[in-house]
Amino acid sequence: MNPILEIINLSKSYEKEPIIKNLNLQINKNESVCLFAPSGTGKTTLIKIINGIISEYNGRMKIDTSNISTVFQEPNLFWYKTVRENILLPFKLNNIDFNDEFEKIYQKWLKLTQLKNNENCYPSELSGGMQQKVALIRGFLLDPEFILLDEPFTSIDIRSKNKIIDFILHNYKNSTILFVTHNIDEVPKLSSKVIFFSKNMTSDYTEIDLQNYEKDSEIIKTIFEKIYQT
Amino acid sequence: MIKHIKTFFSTIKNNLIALLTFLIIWQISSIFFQNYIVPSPVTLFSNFDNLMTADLLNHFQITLYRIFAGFLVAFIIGTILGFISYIIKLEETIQSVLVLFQVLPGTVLGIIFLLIFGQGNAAPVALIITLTTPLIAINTSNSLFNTNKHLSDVIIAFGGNYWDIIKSVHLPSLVPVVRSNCTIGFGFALKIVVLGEFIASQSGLGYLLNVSKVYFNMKEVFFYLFILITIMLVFQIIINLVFVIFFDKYLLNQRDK
Repeated sequence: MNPILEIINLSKSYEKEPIIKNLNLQINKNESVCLFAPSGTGKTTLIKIINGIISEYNGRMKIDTSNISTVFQEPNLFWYKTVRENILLPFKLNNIDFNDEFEKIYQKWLKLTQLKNNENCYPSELSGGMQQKVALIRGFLLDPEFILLDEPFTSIDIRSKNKIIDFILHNYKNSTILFVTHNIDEVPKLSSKVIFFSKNMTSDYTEIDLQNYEKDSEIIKTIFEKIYQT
Repeated sequence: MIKHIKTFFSTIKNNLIALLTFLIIWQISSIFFQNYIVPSPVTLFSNFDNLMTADLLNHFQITLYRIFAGFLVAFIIGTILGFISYIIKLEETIQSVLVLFQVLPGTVLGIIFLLIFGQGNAAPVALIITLTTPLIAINTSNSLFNTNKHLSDVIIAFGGNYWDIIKSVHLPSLVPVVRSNCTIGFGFALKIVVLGEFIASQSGLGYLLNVSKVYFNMKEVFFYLFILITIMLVFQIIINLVFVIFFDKYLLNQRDK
């Protein structure tokens, strides 16, 4: 086992209200893990701790890569940047040369998401779904070693969503994915393991290895059973 | 360029509608009052040659100089103060202090500045700076407070630093704020300069207004008021032009709202 993320006794409170309590978690390289937990239990907080947005917490966290990226629940695009400029933002921030190889993958993404004709549009000229697609490309284009997905398909239609998931599975085999979702049917498509939190984010969670299941319907059934047990 | 011209004309359309509305209200009001109380715009413009004295241009230039001097200083100090108070998260404390300055009566301050600086340019300019700076600072920090904070998260999540946040989030957010500061601040400066010239000057449009008011020469009073409105309108058109040409993309969010 080669962990990319190790969380040891992590706790985080908001106004003395604990939202994450003594969480211990390990995610190994090349794994695709889904965090499944009810709303308001601190999933987004955990993502923000991992990607460095929240720096004040108790406990320890070790990340074995600097090539980490995030796709947020909201597109959070820069209103004054075009689609292309928004997508290339991580390159600009990290002074990475946008070479021909990146350009090729970028073009593939544009074709897949049908954004080719919107490359020079500003976010205000796009629909919510299109904006979320831009955020997805921005998150993946740099070929991150570790990618955090915080309910990234919320406003994307089911057909596009399935196409994008297939594309990710095919082209980002070497990336480690930590995926947060409420949507059960997304889980078997993108994850090899589910970490199921029944209530709060504590170390009291269940791990479900999805490789033991043959059919997606069995996975969904298992998760449903877990929800109803709690 | 064509897109810019279109946006510019759609923006100045509102300024022209405002001027037209003002002229209509003025014309209608003049029907209900005697000509010596509210002279109609038509009467006024027919007497245009008599009202345009050689001396007027001199007074006009003096007022314009005072407005711009006071406004520019207030604009720079107010915007920087508001920006810093937002960045260091002290907007509430600084606003409380600035609000105290805002409630100071302009007439009292005008007399104080008259006693300090004597008659001339300094007193009206100081009055503009003192009263307009808090307004601009408060507007700046309030507007920046509504910035989408998640954009800073994006910068951090993709490996950016604090300077990247300032460059990519705060400074672009400042563009619409600067625009509104120009409009609000300049309008306020225009009102204050008249007050300052009323109290502490023997020159400028405010002084002329004061003299005309004393003699109940309402034609002149309305004429000078019309000049002041025109100054405001021309300034707004210039500001719109500058922002549409150079900063249009930063105003996209604002236009969508």
